[in-house]
Amino acid sequence: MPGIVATAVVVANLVVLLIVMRIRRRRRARFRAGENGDGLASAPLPTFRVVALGLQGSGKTLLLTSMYRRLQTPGDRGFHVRAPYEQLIELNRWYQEVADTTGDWPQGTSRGEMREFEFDVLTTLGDTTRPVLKLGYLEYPGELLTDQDAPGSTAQARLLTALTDADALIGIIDGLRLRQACHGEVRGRLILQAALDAMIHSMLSARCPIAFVITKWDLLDDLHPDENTRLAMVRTVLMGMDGFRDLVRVQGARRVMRLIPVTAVGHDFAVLDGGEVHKKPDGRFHPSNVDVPLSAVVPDILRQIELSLDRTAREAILAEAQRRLRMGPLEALHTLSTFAAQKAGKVLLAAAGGAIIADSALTLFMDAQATATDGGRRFAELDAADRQAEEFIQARRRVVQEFQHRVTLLEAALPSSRLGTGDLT
Amino acid sequence: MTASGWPFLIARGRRRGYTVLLAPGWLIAAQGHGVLEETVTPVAGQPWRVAVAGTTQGRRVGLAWAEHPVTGADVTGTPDSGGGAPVRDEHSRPLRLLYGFLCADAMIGDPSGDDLARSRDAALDTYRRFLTDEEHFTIEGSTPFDITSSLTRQPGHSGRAVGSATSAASPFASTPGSTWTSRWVLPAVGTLAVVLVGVGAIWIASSGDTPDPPCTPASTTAGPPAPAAPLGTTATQGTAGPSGTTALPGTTGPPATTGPSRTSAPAPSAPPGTAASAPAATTGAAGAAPPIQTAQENQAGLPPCP
Repeated sequence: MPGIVATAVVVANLVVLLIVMRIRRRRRARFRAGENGDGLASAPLPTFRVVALGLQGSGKTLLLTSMYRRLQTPGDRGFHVRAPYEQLIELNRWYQEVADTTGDWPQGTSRGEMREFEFDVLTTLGDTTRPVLKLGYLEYPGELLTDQDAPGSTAQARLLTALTDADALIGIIDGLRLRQACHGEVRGRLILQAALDAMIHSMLSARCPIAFVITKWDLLDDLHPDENTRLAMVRTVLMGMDGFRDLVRVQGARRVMRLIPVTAVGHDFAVLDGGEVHKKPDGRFHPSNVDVPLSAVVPDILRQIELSLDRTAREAILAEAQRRLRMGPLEALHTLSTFAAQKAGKVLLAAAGGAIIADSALTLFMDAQATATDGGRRFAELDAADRQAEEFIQARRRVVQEFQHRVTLLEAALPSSRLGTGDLT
Repeated sequence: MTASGWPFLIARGRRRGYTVLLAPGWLIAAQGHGVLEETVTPVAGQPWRVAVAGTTQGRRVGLAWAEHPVTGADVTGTPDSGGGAPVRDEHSRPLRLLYGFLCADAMIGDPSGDDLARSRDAALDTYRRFLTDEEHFTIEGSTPFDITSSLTRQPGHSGRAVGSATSAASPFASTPGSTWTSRWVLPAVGTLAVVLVGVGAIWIASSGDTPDPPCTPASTTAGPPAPAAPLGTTATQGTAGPSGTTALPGTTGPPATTGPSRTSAPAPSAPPGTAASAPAATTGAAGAAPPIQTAQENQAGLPPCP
């Protein structure tokens, strides 16, 4: 009798084991099958949406143009970005207008031209190039921040919704107005204050990382020969302005805030003459730091998650990351993107502060946690599809590290670029 | 029988941003002139553009417009003074006018040069008044004139405004001209995808285990991983045409686009009825562009206005 019971238990265990294995194999086979056999093709990509807050004429469109120009090829980075073809045509047209020293500056963005530019961030994976994440950048006319919409127009409402949904905010500070303010010009200071008021209203309640970008940085070259000293001088001016100081006090303690000087045309391209900015006939188009604002988005989001987690949430995320290591890479890749919508994911999001972590951010954050805990996945033991997935995950991590590297370089060169509560003393 | 056109003007000043400065009085009274701001975009190197839009009252209007770079002579109002030098705003950008005329309940085919010139004259008069006091300027109502442009009759009411074509809940949506895509094609594609996925799931579930591919011999080295299976063969799966955007489920919804407003003609395959709810825009080549017709009109077979 005991022999029969033991045999029955063993058989039952075997049956359960076989069922579990069958389910897992089916799931993995389904992931591998994907579309036309590429399991990665159907894996959702984390998407981060960026809104640049800046008044009309502050340089948003030029920044976007130069930023894309800089990032569209890998250069010395391990990634590059790609826009949809019709947007690429438009970006190239703007670039030609800007870089042509015999032509005028591009005309401003009209309300009807408001739209999002969506960039794939690509990296090399084996012998192919694949997108590993997406960045959205809203292009709109700056007057939407200060002027009433005409009756019947929805542009302003769409902008406000975009601000609410943004994963990162970039405040655009017009370098020309800063220069005027530094030289005591009332008009310049008034416009600068209006710009800060418009963006601070949205940023005070923001729960995402915030970076301020000083455009037209080349127009401030004569403030001081040393760039970091120059940046510190400008920061002092800004901290003396109503609203900005309060914003840094409120937000600086709990999120990453930056002050990034950029020139979309370079230091030897334009001159200020009689209050107007003219292109030099022999100007050299050589933008500087234009890639940093976008590069900082993802690392700053991940850093903010770190800052927002309490011990319980951190342990829960680590446990989940450990659990995911027991899956195959392909299965983990597919299920990670839906994790935030599942019960366990919602619990984690709630523990970590609710809406401040979007699904995309959680995806990359879990990804990073797995890096810290896997201790080296045994790559050789994986089958071909799982190897693809593992390589994809590793490639995505490398891109995030490249982003972080770019930000680290800026901080090393310009320590004054980091805004924080230390500025208040 | 002649039709009337109402001049309109959208422009920015030396200090103020883009805004509607001149519009038909009845459109202003109906609080619907915002539709001009959202529909009228730069002509991008073309001599003119035309579009159809719907007002907040559901009335359809035909629009034709062109661009005019502002010169010193435009500002003074006398050709002999001020010269042809461009006038710039306080950000050193050249000023331009987006001017044109509007026809109620009609679609403009080929806008005539005379009609555009009359609209520009009216726009310049308004613009000069605007420049003298930008901060306190209020929108002006335009006076209609008899147009000579070719028109196509339109159904009187669309029942839907262009102003609301791009939902406030979708801030990252593309330009209004692409909304027919999100209204009809995407749901249809989505439904088809759901059906296909369902069929696929049933097939997979009933097909038993898919045999694993043969295992690659385990590497004992600690070097870089062996090359993965080629990905390029399926890298374009889920891409959306020439845009190169990857249409992956659960990411960002419809791929962003600058929309048909940049294209030369409305999509010929637009499903029936879409024209009533979406603006169609086309860029013109001087004297060569065919009259614009939406899919709905083609099907209705409406004759052109006399």
